[in-house]
Amino acid sequence: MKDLRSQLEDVNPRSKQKNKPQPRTKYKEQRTKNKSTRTKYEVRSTKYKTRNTKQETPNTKDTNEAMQLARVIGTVVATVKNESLEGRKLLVVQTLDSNLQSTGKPMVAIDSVGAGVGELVFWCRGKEASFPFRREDTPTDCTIVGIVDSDAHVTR
Amino acid sequence: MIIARILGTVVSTQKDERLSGKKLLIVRPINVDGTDTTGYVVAVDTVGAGFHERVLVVAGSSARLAQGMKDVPVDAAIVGVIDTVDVTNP
Repeated sequence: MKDLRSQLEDVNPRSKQKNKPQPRTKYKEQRTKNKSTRTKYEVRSTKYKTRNTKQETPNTKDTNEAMQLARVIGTVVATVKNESLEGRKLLVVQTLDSNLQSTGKPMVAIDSVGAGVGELVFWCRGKEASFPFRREDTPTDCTIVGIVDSDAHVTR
Repeated sequence: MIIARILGTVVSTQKDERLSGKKLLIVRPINVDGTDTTGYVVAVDTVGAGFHERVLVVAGSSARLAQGMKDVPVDAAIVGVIDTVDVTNP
């Protein structure tokens, strides 16, 4: 029986390949190849890889910034101001990251919900910041649009 | 909005028609505790602010929403003069 099987294996080329550890060593050799000896295609592929990783980093940053949570840390008083800002409350907000740690500089925001000092709020920036008010003539680029009930609602 | 301090003026004769009659000021963003940061911004004044005053500066497309700034090509406008800033823990 044994002889028969060995004979069969000798004949069958597939079984031979299975036993051979050749492909693995080949792969190892390729990995240890010097940069200079790499083929054009290989160099290109590594370039593409690095570019890809670079693109990924800002994406994760964006998702962090998309939360736009902030802590109200103070108030601002301004008597002389644009007419359309009259009667609006100005608050100093410290932006936070997803772990509720302060990040970046504090900003001045208009309040649209009645937030107070010490509260966790979420806010919007840009043109959309004027949407809670008369959007045609409220010059604001940072508005508090909601109050988070408690810090526990934000923890992951 | 950012808090800024007025550093100086800009005089420009040849400018966009819609900017004529507008006061241009150089402002430097400051921290809430009053210390200076780096850099500066040229902003259009809409409230009549003076030198060394702390002001509120609005940036981006929202600057066009200020009084008298409709369809004016600006991206930074002074919209308020600050009296006080109270911060619990800056």
